[in-house]
Amino acid sequence: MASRVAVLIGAGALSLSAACASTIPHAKKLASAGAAYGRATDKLIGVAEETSLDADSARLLSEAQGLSREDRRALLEKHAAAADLVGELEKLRKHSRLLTRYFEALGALADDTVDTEAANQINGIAGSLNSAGQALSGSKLLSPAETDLISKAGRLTVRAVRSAALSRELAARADTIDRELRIQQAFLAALRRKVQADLASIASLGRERDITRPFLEGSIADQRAWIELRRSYVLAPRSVEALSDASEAASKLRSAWAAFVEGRVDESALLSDLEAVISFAESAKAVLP
Amino acid sequence: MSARTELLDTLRDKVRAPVEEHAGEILDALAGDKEKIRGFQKARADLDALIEKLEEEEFRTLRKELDAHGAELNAGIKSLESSLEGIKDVETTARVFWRVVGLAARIIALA
Repeated sequence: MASRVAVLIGAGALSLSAACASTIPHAKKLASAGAAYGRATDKLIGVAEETSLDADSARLLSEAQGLSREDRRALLEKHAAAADLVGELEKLRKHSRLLTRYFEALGALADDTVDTEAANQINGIAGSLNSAGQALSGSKLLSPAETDLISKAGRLTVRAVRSAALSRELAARADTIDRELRIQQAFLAALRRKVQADLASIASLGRERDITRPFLEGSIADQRAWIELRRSYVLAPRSVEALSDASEAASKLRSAWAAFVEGRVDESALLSDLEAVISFAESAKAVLP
Repeated sequence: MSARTELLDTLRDKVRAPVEEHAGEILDALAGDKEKIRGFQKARADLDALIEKLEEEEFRTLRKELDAHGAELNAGIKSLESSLEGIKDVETTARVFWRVVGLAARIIALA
């Protein structure tokens, strides 16, 4: 009940300022949604990493059937590239974690009692986030349209907020954060395509090997393990759906960021964008292990 | 949709996925013929390599090559689809698959 009242008061505070420029409550809501988004994507990319590696292992096992030792060795070497993708995804996870820290620091800046230390801290985080973003921007995972999305980052016109520290931060970083969110949006869309294909491999190869065959041949050695495996195969597609929502959430967060920075706050649009981001974060938390 | 995405989706969804679905049956049916198994497995590994190449590289003339050879590739994929339906002649299926992978490799090599 108490939390519901708090939500209503919060929503009321936002509604009262509907005609104004961006406010401190807007900043806090944006910061909290941004941090929740970063935490959820970090977890989600971890699951995508495992799915991709598992798919590669399922293919490796299946493609090795009937081959000589020498051919198997050559095949194993061909599959070594799976590690490259993991390296790429680890960079994206780092980017998501830095985004979480950035939005947490932005939330701290929005507090009245902000000190120089908080301002210095956000500078350091933003610098690292920018470097992590640059390390990702040339990735080969992206399609030309996704590369375009990142390179077309425009210039946001910053309007001051009633907090000097926050206004300074927006003036310094509006475009950078817009670009980092574009990177997230593009990468998560690319990752969804890749994981969708990998899941198809797991579904057909893994399910046949671990579920169908032992069941048909009556050779299930450990029934409890078989039940768990079957469950994991059936539930796996949920992570692809979550990835699709993640790219959409990044796009909503970006549009909320632009509206906030430019002080063109359409109350209901901002709230609806941020609600979508939070709802993505909550459902990802519920779906992921 | 870019030519790269189009070919990538085709190879992943219309070639690799259905073959993986029937890989166990095909391998069982080819059991005992080491050369045929080797050929089939090599085609699968080559297809993985082509998909990986498409995931990682840009090809300047891929659209042109896809326009020029797409019909042949699609006809091959159609044959593969029908030969995978209730697989009767595994050797034909393996041969058609091998031909489709070869066509895709040619398109990518020319692009």
